[in-house]
Parts: sequence; C-alpha cells; structure tokens
Amino acid sequence: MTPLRSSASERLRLSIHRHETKLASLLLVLGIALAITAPRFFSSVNLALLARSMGVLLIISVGMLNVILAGGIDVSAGATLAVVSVVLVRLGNRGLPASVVLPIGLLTGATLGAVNAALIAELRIPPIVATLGTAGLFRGLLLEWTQGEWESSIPPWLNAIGSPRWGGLDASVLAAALTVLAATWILHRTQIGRALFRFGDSPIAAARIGISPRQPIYFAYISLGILTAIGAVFYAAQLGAVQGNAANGYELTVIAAVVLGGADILGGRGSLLGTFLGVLLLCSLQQALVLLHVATFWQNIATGLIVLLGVILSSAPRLHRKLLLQQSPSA
Amino acid sequence: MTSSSPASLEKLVNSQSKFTKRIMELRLSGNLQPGVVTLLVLFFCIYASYRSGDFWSALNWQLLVQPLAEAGLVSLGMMFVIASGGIDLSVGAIVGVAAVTAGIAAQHKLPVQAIEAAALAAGMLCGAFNGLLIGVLRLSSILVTLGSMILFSGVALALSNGNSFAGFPDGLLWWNDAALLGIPVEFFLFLAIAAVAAVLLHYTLWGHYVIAIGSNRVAARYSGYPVALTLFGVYTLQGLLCGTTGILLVARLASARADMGQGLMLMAIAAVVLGGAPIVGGAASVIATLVGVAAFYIVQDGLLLLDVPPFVQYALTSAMLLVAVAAGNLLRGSREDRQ
Amino acid sequence: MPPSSLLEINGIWKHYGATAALRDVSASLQAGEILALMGHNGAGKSTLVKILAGSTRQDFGEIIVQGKALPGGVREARAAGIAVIYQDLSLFPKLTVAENIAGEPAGRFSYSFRASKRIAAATLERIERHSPLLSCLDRNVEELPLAMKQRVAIARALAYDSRILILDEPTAALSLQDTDHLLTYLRKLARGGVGVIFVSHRLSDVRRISDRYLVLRDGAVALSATPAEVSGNALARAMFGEAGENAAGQPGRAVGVTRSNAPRDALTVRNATRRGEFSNISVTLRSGEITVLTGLTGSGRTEFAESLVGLRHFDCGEMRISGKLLSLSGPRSAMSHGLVYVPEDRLRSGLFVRRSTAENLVGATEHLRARFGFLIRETDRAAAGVSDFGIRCQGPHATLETLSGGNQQKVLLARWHMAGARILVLDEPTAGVDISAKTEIHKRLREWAAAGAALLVISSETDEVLDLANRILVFHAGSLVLDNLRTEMNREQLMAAMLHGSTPAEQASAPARARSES
Repeated sequence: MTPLRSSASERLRLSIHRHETKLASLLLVLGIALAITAPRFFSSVNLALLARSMGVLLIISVGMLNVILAGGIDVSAGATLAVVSVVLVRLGNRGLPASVVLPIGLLTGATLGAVNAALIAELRIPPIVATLGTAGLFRGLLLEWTQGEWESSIPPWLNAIGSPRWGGLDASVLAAALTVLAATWILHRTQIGRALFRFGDSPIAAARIGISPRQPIYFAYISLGILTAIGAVFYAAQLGAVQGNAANGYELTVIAAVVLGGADILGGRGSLLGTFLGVLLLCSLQQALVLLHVATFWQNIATGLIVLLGVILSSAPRLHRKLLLQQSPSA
Repeated sequence: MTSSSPASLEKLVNSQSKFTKRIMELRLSGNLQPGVVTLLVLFFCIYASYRSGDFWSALNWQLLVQPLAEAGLVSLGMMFVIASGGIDLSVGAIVGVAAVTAGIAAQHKLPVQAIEAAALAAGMLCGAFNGLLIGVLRLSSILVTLGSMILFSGVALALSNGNSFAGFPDGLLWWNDAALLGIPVEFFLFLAIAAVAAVLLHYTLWGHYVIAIGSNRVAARYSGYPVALTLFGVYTLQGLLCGTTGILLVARLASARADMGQGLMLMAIAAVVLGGAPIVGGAASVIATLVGVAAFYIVQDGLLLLDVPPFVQYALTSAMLLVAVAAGNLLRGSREDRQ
Repeated sequence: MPPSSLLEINGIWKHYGATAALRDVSASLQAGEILALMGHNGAGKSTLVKILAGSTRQDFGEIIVQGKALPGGVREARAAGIAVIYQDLSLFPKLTVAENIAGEPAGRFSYSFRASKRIAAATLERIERHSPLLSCLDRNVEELPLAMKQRVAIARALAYDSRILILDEPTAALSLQDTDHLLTYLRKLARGGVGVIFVSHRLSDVRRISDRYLVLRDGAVALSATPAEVSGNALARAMFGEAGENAAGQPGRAVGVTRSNAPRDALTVRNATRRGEFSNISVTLRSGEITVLTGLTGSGRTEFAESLVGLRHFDCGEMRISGKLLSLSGPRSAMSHGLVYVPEDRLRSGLFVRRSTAENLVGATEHLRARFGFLIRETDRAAAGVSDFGIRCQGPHATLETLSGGNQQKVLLARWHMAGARILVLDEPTAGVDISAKTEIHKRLREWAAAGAALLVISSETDEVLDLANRILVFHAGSLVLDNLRTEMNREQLMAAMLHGSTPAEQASAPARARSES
C-alpha cells in the first residue's frame, strides 16, 4: 500500500503557503505591537469586550462565507440585519413574548434570503445586481414602516440576552461559537456543504455530476438570512435601540472580513478558520485603535489598508505558484 | 413534448416566419433592454402627467436634471469600469474626497480654477490608486475597491476632521446658478461629457481595448493589447469623473462633507445594469447608460409628484432594477435556447 | 437485438429551435466494445453525448441501458453506470485530487475527507499500479499538469461502478506518450467488460483503437461499420458527403513546393535558456519553410514559443530577426518586427468570443492604422478576411460564439496573418477542429510558406508533423534533441526522439544541427 498520509515536510510546505498562516502571522505582529504600545489590550476586561464585539460580525460572516463559497455575493445583508432588528424590537415592545418574536425574526431572515436566492436561481439575475436591488427594496420598505423613527427601548428579555455575564462575555459569544461549530460540520461533513464548494468552483462541472444550481444557491442565501437574523438578535440587544437606517454598510464590513479571511471571491475556496481570523483581525484592530484613542477616521484608514493588504496576501500564492512551478500562462 | 410525430414537429419548427426570426435575433443580441426600459418609462411619464399636472412643468425638470447629471457622470465612469470586466465600489468615497479637497482649497481662499483643479486631481489620484492595484498588480477589482472605499472614506474624514465646509466663492457656485434656455448648465456639461465618452468608447483604440479586456483579458494580453495601461486609464477616468461630480455636488449644496457621495455607488452600478450592460463586462453603450440613469431619476421624480412616500420611492426604484434585469433575461431567452 | 447489448439507442430526435440536432439516431454498444463516434463539428456528436449523460432530454426515442429505459437526469444516468469524460474534463480545480476522484458522498451527512481519500486511493490502485496520483491526493487539481488532470478525470469516472465510459475528444490536448498510455488503458478497461464510446477527430487514434465506427452527419447516422468493412475514403465520404472525399483525402506533400524560393534566415535564436523550462536552444527559421516543433507536453515547447514573442523572457541567449539583434517586450513589439504567436487555447487566450467576427479579424493591428488614437472603420478589410479565408458565418457582425470550432480557428489564423506577419509561430493550430477544417488550415499554411513566410508550427500529432514539415525540431525535457530536414527523417526516428530524447535518430541529426549552427 502506498502511504495515504503526506510526508511531514510536504504538509509543512503546504501549510506555509496557506492564507491562514499569513493571517496568523499578521495577527502575531499586531499582538506584539500592542503588547508594547498598549499592554492594556490584553487585560481580561478588554479581551472580553473584544469577544463581544466579534460575535455578531462572526455569525453573519459565516453566512457570507457560504454565499461567497457558492460563487455569489450579498450586499443586502446590512438591510436584512436592519429589517430583522426592527421586527424583533417592534414586536417585542408590543408585548409579544420572546418565544413568538424570535421564531418570527428567524423566519423573516430566512424569507429575505430566499427572495435573494429566487432572484438569482430562478430569474438568473447576477448576484451583485440582485442583492443590490433587494438591498434598496428591503431598506425602503423598512424605512417606510418605521418612518425613520427610533425604537429607543428594547424589551427586557432582549436586554437580558445582550447583558454581559460569564466574566464579561455575553450570549453572542456562545452563539458565535455554536455557529462556527455547526458550520464546520455542515461545510465539511454534509453533502450540501461539499456541493457548495463544488458549485462555487465550477457550476458547469457541478451540473455535469448532477448538482443543480438551485440547491447550493438556496442553501447559501437562506443560511445567510438565518444567520443574519441570529446576528440581529444580538445586534439589537447590544445596541439597546434600533432604527430603519441601522447597519447601513454593514454588509461591506462582513464581506471585508470574509475576504480578509482568504475566501476566493470567485467561489469554491475559503475556510472557517480564515473567516474567524479575518473577523479577529478586523475587530482587534478597531479595538486597539479605540484603546489608543485614535480618531475614528484613522480606524477607517487602518481598516481599508488591512483589507487591501489581505487582498494582496491572498493573491500572492497565485503569483508565487506561477513563478515557482513555471506553469505556462496558457495552461 | 412527445405529443406530435417527429415529422410534423419539424415542419412546424421550419415554418417560422422571417419576422419571428428577426425578433429572435434581437433577443439573442440582448439589445432589447434599453428599449424596454425607455418604453416603460414613457408609459410611466404618460401616467404621471395624467395624474399630476406638475410633471411636465419646467421647474420639475429643472430640479430633476441636476441630480441626474451628477449621478450620470459617475455612471459613465462606471460604464467603462464594468465594460472592462471590473466594478468600482469606491466611487462614493472618491466623491467625498474630492468634495472635501474642494472645501479645504476654498478655505485657503484659492481661486475657483485652483479649487476645481484640486478636486479633480484628488479624484484622479484616488482613481489612479485603484488603477495601479487592479491594472498593474492584477488584483480583483471588487476586493481592491472594497478596501479602497473604506480607505478613501477614512481619508475624506481625516481631511475634513468630520466637519463640513461652507463659504465657497461665487465662481464655483456658478455651476449651480447658471442656466441656458432655462436648463441648468450642469446638464449641458453632463451631455458634453457623455458625448466625449461615446467617442472614447466607440471611436478610439482605448475604447476598443476596454471592451476587449472585458470580454477576454487573457486573449487581450496575447493580442499585445496594453492591458495594465488601459485599466489604469479606466479607473483614473472614473476618479476624474467622480471629482467632477464632487465639484457639482459642492456647487449645488454650497457645502462639502466627507459622506457626500453616499448612495452614488449603488445608483451608478444600477444605472449601468438597467441600461442592459452585462455585469461581467465586454459590452457597453453610452445611450443605454443614459437611459438607465434617466429612468431612475424620472421614475423617482414622478413617484414624488404622485405623492408616493419617499421611502416607498426608494423601494420601488430598486424593484424597477430587478424587474428590468429579470425581464431582460427572460426576453433574451435561456441559455439552452441559444445552442 | 442480442440480449448482451449494454446500451441501446433507439430512434433519438432532438431539436434546438428550428434546427434538428439529431434525426432518428439509433445505435448499440456491447460490453467490451470500443465504439468510435465521429463526425465533423456540428454533426450532433456532442448532443448525443449530452443526452447519454442525462444533461439534455431527447424529444423522441429512448435509450436502454442493460434492458432498462434510461430516465432523464444526470444523477440517473450515473446511477445507470454511464460516465462521461468531457473535453474540458469538468474537474473542480480548487478542490483536492482525492475530493475530485471520490466525488459526492453517498449519504447526506456522511462526508469525510479521510473516507474520500481512501476511496480515491482504492480507485487509483484498482486502475493502475503505482499511480503517480497517489502521492498528490492532497494537492489541488489546479496545480497538476494537463495529462495528470486527465488521469484524475478518468479515475473519477471509474470511482463508481460505471459500465459505459464516454470520452469526448480525450486525446485532443494530449501528447503522443500520454495518448499511447490512454489508448492502452482504454483497451484494458474494455477487456474488463466496460463499453467505451470514444469521440474523436484524430483518425489515427480512432483507427488504432475502435471496434466499430459510428459516423454522424447533419444529425443522422451516416455510417455504422467495423474498421474492416470500410476504407479511409469511405469513412471520409460518410463524414463529409461526396464533396468531402477530396477534402479529407491524402493531402499533397509540401516539400518541394517551397524549394523554388531560396530560403533566407528569417529568425535565429542562439543558446536561449529559461531556467526550469528550456536550455541552450539554437534554432533558425527560414522564410518559405514550415518548421514543425514537436515533443511531449511539458517538454518546454510552448514556453519556448511564448518567449519568442516576449510573453516570457529568455534568461540568456539572443534572438535575431533578419540579422538584427532584438529584445522583445511583448506581442506588440514582436508584431512590429513581423513576428506573431497564435496560442493554442483559442477560447481562453485567442479570441473574443462575445465580440463580432469583424472585430476579431482586424483587432490585432488596429493600432497601426488608428490616427491619434481614433479607430478607422475597417468593414471592407474584415469582409475581405471572411471571404479570403472561407470563414462560414452569418456575416462579419455575428458574434464568434455562433461559429463552429473550425471556423473560430480560421478567424484566429486569419487575424494574425492579416497583421502582415512574416514569421508565424502557431501553437497546435489544428487542435480540436474537424478534418475538413484541418485540411484547409494545412493548405493555407503551405500557401503562406510558399509566399515567403517563415512558419514555426507546434504539433503533437505525428501525422501532422510528418505531413506539414519541411524541417522538424524535437524538444525533450527542455532541450532540442533533433533538428533535421523532413526528407531525412522517418516516423520511427521521430517517435524515438520524442519519447526518449537520445536515440540513434539523435546521432543522425547531429550533422544537420552542425550545419544549422555554422
């Protein structure tokens, strides 16, 4: 029998060129820099704050990873987040119990995701165009519903969800951990998870082994819708107030995190570990800049630069391979 | 499917008239979408004028054409970007940078020309930055501009320190005040630039390269086309147009803020797509882009006059994009029909 | 019908819009049989393959696999034991070799990377001893060379219990050695009871391997016979109708035609080296001559050709055109010296298929005629190109998508020839085109040479090499192992040089090389 395991050196060679390794090194550099300039960053209080700030972004990013793996993109995630947040808070404030409101919220998220999927799979509208349209549609209808007014208080049960316990952590951290675990199982162990990779890699080849485009597209967008709804619970709970314009542009932060995590925007390649590291990097950077009392606009500049750096890093293996393996450009 | 015999089916299929063949050809070429959109907008205009006497008033159209011209300029730039196979998410942020630059220049009491030049240069610089990463380093346009969007909005905020600028010289506000035959001069500027864009796209080597790169980048390289330089030009031009938009916005609002270009990015992409350009690149038409951007503003304005609540207007114009693209897809027929 | 029939195709009809792609096609395939499916482009082969694969449904007729009617659908066809290997292989480049081979998990929730590796390894062991793929199960498919990708595709088709194997142009992109390997391998599979349908344009491969021919013409069966029953001419007649006999008949020898012009050195390369790709190559191309460069894939042929036009660069070595020492920065500067490169993969790196035929034809040289960056309309030039090259299209403004593969290839050749090239480097100019288009392209290349152009043709097909060449160059592992006149060569010497690099043929060529270097 030939050995099924690759040799240690081979594995080392592969892992060095993995995007996740580069991200981790980047995080390490950031960590060392912070340890020198702002040792307070590593205090348990601050780390708990960091974990809390990551929860919502990580949950929605996992959903976005599904969509990007399937070769799609969703710029309506911010609008979906706002819609579900407002639905939760409004219904809750009218006295409906959590056991009714939460399922309605999840259903809303799933429905909005299904609308996107239907436009893409049934009407064959390119994902960026379809979600651009639904972003405006969802947001417009939401603003009409709220008439631009704030929901300045949230129901007590929602407040309880968002309040820190367990040494400064809150339920969003637990939910994010569960999301990542569940996604790990789905992406790596189930037929639909693998179909996501296959369809995103090559829709034609997938069709030729009998994977219809509907299945992965619906799965990806509905899962993003549901995860966005879960994120919305904690988003509303942490903010304590919502309005129709909430989470404007949030989808771009989510996409930035996933892309920073090394997902291939053309589909078929990406990992949960990478996405986690991407979210961690973005959030630590924000947190550190806040800690260092840096003005908000410098946070934008730093985030933009880090995203660009991630893009350059993730396309480095392509350039690298071309040079190393001497592949002809036509191969 | 198997209800009739093979022979009769073949006869039926072969008896297709010339007319249906012509329609088929048009469907396949995908040129129907701007026509369909124009037709829909015309119907809408008739309905709106029937319901609201103000629709055809001069004042209404004067108010309409200024935002149309501003979004139109960005859409023209976006048309080149999309035709080259890319996308630019950073346009709104670039408009912000240009506007803030104009604000700073005005604060230093610079002459009007210098203010304008500074804004244009700032826009071009941002565009050139994108062009460098996308054209020369061959990075993905959507990722680069996602990053640069965040970066530029940060730069705009940093330059303005979060404040808004006022006190612009009259020479700059002229862009808003001046009118020719009752039509704001801004609109003529837009038409002139659109004409230049049409010439660039259809009659120059560069325009040909843009389309060729969008349709097959590898083949363009093997054909010896200057791919990096052309793409650099595309994004720099987009930056320049964003700078122009920034100046017009500053003139109209008599103030400059970092978040001035918000919403322009989505509008520009939507306008180009509404005109029927494939989002994957390789084709473009200035007329179609004009139709796309005009359709948005005319419908939005009509809805306003029809007393449709503002947020519903927003939702409806977005729905219009979806309907137009879906209709265009259905008209074009499925992929299987093509084979 | 004998009960042992593995596959029965009964009266299949298929329409696309107004055209009938298949008319009443019937055929059968026995276990252990290799059936060659032939026909020129657009004859209906790929439609038939699609129907068998389950990705398209026929309008009328039925397909019976081992006595059971085949329902529509890709999964159903696979469950019935039909496996298709497409010309583009349809692999998942970003997934690992193991995942590609093992395919979809059987259960909904039971996928595991370890199990897929086990399945892949077991499949590879079953297919061949010591498969080189075993050592790269964890590599992504995109990192493998083409021949290895093909092996992945075959292993994938055989990973589950497939009884009918359909291969669409499997040898089109393969080198001689890999083709050999594949054909032997298919024969072995057939002996094991698998039925094989082999779709190919390459008559040499078809003759070697098939038990029976099935020829389609305009969607109908034109011939179904064993090799013993038909001559080459009858086969050509079946494929192209009466007119085809000349088109596909034995082409005339080119040698001698060009001897009337005194050959001049058009392009000389000395000691060209590019690390890891080729080393110390010295070659001379002469005007009026067709030089054919051959060798196995991966021998550095394409890399060398791309270096000639500046798509890559020599690490060291020099190149002269008409005696002038040059350093080219890319295809455009090459073109300004009359040197052009026509790449192999026409869809990926050659043509703009969504643009019009006219645009594709004049596109290479527009910058030469543009005034101050403004284009000059060149409708006449494009129309002339279409008629000169006998390109069959619905007019110069039809998009290239609507053209057949052979006509697309003609557009590509026409575009570069119209650029006024005096030295043409053509990479596999006849890959994947049908025989009539191939004959026409060969004729055209000879005409260009006769008119004084210097041609370097890269080809893997031995017949083409021997047929077309005035001079033959053979690459092996990045070095030039043979440089000889066609008249001083035979098939055996050529094959030996390609396969082994160093053979008696090499010694025979030594004087020739000495001559060319003096």
